[in-house]
Amino acid sequence: MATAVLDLELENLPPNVSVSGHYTKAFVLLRYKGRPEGKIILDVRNGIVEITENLSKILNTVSHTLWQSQVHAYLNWDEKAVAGYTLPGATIAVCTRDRPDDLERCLEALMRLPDLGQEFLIIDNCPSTDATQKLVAAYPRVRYVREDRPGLNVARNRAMREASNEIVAFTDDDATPDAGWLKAILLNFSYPLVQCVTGLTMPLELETEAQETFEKFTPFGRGFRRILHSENTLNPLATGRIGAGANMALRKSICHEVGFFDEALDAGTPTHSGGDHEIFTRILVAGYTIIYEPAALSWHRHRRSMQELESTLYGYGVGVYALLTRHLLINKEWGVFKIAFNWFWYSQLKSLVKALLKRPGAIPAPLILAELKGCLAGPGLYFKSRKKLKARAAHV
Amino acid sequence: MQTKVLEVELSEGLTAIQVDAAYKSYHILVRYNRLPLGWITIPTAQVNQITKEHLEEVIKNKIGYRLLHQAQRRQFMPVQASVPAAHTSEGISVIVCTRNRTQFLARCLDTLFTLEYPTFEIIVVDNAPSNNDTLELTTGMPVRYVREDRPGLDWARNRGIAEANYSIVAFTDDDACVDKFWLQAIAKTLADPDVTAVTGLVAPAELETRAQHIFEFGYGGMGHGFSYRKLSRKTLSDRQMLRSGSVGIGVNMAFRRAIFQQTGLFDTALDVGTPSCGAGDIEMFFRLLSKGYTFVYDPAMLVWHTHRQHLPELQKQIKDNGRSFGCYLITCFKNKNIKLSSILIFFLLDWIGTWHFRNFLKPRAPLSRKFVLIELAGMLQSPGAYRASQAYACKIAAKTPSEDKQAYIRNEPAAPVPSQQVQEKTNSNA
Amino acid sequence: MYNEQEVSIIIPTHNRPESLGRLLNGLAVQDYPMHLLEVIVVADGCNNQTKDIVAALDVPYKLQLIELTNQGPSVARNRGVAVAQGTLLIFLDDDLEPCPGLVQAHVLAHTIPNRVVIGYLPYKSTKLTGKYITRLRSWWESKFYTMRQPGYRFMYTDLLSGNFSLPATVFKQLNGFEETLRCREDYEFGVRLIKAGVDFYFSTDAWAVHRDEATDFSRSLTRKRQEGNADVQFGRLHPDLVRNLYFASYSKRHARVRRLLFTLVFRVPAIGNLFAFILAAWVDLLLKINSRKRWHKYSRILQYYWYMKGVSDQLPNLVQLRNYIREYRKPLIPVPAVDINLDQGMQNAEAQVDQLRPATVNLRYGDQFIGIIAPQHGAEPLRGMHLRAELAHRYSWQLSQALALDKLTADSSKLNSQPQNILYAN
Repeated sequence: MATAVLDLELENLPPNVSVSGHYTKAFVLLRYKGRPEGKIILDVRNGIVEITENLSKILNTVSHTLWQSQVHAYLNWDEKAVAGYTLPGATIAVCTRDRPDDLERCLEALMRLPDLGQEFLIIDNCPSTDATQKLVAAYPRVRYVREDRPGLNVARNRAMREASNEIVAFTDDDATPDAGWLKAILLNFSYPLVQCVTGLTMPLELETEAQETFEKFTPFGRGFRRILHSENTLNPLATGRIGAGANMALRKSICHEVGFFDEALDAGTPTHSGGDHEIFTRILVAGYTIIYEPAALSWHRHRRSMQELESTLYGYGVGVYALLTRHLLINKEWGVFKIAFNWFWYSQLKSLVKALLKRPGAIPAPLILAELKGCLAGPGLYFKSRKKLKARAAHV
Repeated sequence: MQTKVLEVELSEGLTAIQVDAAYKSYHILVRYNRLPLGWITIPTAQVNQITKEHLEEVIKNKIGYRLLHQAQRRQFMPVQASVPAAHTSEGISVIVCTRNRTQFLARCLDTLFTLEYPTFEIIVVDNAPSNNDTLELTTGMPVRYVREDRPGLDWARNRGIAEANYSIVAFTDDDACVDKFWLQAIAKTLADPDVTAVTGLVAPAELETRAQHIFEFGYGGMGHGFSYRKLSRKTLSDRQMLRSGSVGIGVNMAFRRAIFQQTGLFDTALDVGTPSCGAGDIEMFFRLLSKGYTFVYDPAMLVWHTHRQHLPELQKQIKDNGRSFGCYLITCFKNKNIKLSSILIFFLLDWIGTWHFRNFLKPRAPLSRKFVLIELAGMLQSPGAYRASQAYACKIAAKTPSEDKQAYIRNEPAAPVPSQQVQEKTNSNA
Repeated sequence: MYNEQEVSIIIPTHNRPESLGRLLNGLAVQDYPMHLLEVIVVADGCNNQTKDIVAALDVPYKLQLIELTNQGPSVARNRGVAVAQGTLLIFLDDDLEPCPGLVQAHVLAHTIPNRVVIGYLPYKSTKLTGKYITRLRSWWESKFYTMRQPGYRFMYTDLLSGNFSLPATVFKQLNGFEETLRCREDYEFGVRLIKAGVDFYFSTDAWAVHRDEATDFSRSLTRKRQEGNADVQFGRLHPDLVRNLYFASYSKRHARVRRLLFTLVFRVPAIGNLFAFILAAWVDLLLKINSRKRWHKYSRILQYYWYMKGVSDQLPNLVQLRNYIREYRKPLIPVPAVDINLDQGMQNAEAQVDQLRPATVNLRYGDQFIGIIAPQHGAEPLRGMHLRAELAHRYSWQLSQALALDKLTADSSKLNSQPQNILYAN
């Protein structure tokens, strides 16, 4: 039941693609002149993905954005190319913890990025071995920083402080950025109000059922249109649709205006996730803009086993409710009740009923239940995490 | 009221169209490399020509997305495939069932003779004729004349299948004109081994009378849109499957002949010539779907149909539609291919609830509520009609020698017989 | 290209000695020959502090102080120009903190004689926690960002008087700012510049930080009232632009609350004021409970009220308003459109537009009509580079259709020679 992942350029389509025999489906990312335009799942027949035969299907999936890209190509037009803009310097930060295999793939991809004067920064978060340090030593351009306090947001804050360039681009250790990733991100900072850019994340592999399930129901991708999010277009408390921390970039200066990442949140703490979405809220409330840029493409390796997937979804539930608790507690945002209700009523309840009725295309019930369990535990775990943080601070 | 029906081919370039003063508007089928893309309607009451600019403007407004799609297709077609692969041109038997409509049939046969395809034969099945006109007409033409004395369109169809020499059988009616590339489209779709049957776009051949307008624009005509669809049980719910059956149209359909062995022949209790007055074709398509076969709606497979010209004929047809659709649902139930609950839900929600109710509440422009009531009346008659036609079918079947029934389903397609020889054979038979 | 010329910087100021001092110090460290620089501070209704600050400064350039008795920025600027010696005039507001290359960037941008250069003003405020200030900052930044975009068509509203430069000859030719206006005088000057065919140019290099410490929401309401007042006067001076004014486009499409306020302002002003008072309290409350969406909505309504109040200062009742609009809102004079055909390539079309500089253009592709770039009142005549922007934004769908149809019908001759294969798609 594995799915092959393909990356095809529309201008240069092959009549068919042969894939390894164990694949029954193919997940195809379609690009036009390097820009992602759409994705489609095609059948594999005898190890061959027919492209010519499925051309109409392919064109239908990209029809919403492709015509505009074609016109822009014809006009040689780029709305981001404003007068008098030079690309700012960037620091690419990877926060990692005991995953040298994934990190090596990520580093290889980073080394392939075209040189825009970027700095590479590895934040090794509370490692149990020195495998990461040894690995990084093989890459002379990469700076290794060890952060002993556990927590992804702690590591992120460290990266923000350590970075020597204006833009800090984060990627996860289990992601491999595409060659055009950094440039696509930096082009968007031409607008002074843009403080954050998020990108499109596609699956690196879909070998197991867990990975397929994840990509089907909770994908990282947020579509193929470039979207400007601001307070006027989006409720700042509902930041889920903006993107994810696995593929985002921030201006270094933003931390002095809206504050650093909340260290009680995200992986490595009891709250599991939510640190990225929490800072998005603060950025939007401060009147700034966040851009979702599909051209900033990165490939993410999803969790391989069903168990890991379940705990990931549990973590999402915890993270969302933890960050809602934070908004209520610290910023007195009464709107969080509405957000929580809407999420439950319009999304979770619906999928739960669908799953229990075993409708075709429904999310597996254990996953929803795990998420709901996480939601219930969320506020409590946030307080626990804060207490832990305070205790550690007192200890130091 | 009169509307002229035309087609334009984009790849041949657009030119201004001189307007015939007798027509109030032009209904134009736009095609690109023979593929129908869509209809455009241009009112022409005040002008004496449709300029090229105007034509372009209307085409862009109406079917802009399809234009784009075709242009993108050309641009992004994989390099090697730009030379089209030679399609297996399997022989096709074209079966035309007719009854006492020689004028229509003559026109239909004229278009069949212009078909561009290497191997095919034409079989005219004369269904319980009351005179010899059809025989006389076909004498001297490169067609095979077969006479089927048992009245009923499905008897004629089954007879046609029995007489066919090739592995694909294509059906059309005597009141239709086929497109020049009809058989090419059929062969191309059936080149896919998954597909067992194909049906296509039915365009109005003329829109001269009010009855034809009502049927085409108010009732919806016989066309089912311009997108290619592959229909199979895997992707459809029961209700969708019942609806999908009605995508198939007897005037424009083709099957692999071998498939009839698995699914059986057309249900002789149904269709024109029996009390049920129709639905033999849609019942066949539903049976295919329910047994897990795939069928395709391909708009490239084009037939021009002459709708009923006079209002009484139209009223009868719409009444027949109601009656036959009811018979179709009852047959589906009797064949036990699908749950009764699905049929009931489909009957109440989709047919009565959506189709009749919507048409009655807000009839589309030339359609009046009268026709909806007529169709409903037809529907109410369907249980009776079903029983009557069952009895009728049994009566006829009793007369038929039993070996005759199954004899025509052969495993091996017979060696292709050139049309000339067939001609001689029929002549000697006569 | 680098043309060293004498530059006069005119700074109107009104009781902001600290920021004025910062500005004058900033000008002292410019990368520009100091002997070519002259600064004229026009103190408009200032107390002695300003005078002291200017006197105490030791600056390497020529510094002059002119004192006026609160006559408004237009008069202040005109008086400043009257004594200016330079061939290039740079106008700066007193709350700026200039970059070291500001003067040089302005000088360098004047590559053609008839040009006005507008400089970039990144917005900084110490009150950035306030909701209103972040909205104001968004307004400024998005305004500058659109001006930076390729193929932007300048309007009279783009002449922001805070940081701009133009040759002294042009200023004198146009008789300077309109002295009867105390607000909107920059827009009014912009109109005359556009009408005189002066080229507008936006420079990001000529930036100066806009340190706005004075503005807050309650002050913005006073400002709105001034704007309403000034808009009426502006319309009297330029009747052809009345249709661009906000109050003149009043229609039934307005939301219910605005319609009510509109009626109150002109019919029962007393109740209107009471209503505005309640609304102000409500807006304050909304901000306190973090109800941002509603705050944006109602604060805009409140601003609308004060704007209309300003209009009613000039036109106290509905009859006068109606007469005003009727008098000035005349039907547009049709402008002949120029046909531009794109099928000869974009560059060709752009060259054609650059040569003709038309007010309005019919875009065609072959014999297909794509769209019309309508005449825009108060905007500069079209240039070649405007075509791409219009096509990419407004007419991209039409253009893509035209290209597709052209592609499909173009090769009719080629197809006929091909063998009869099945080419069509599913």
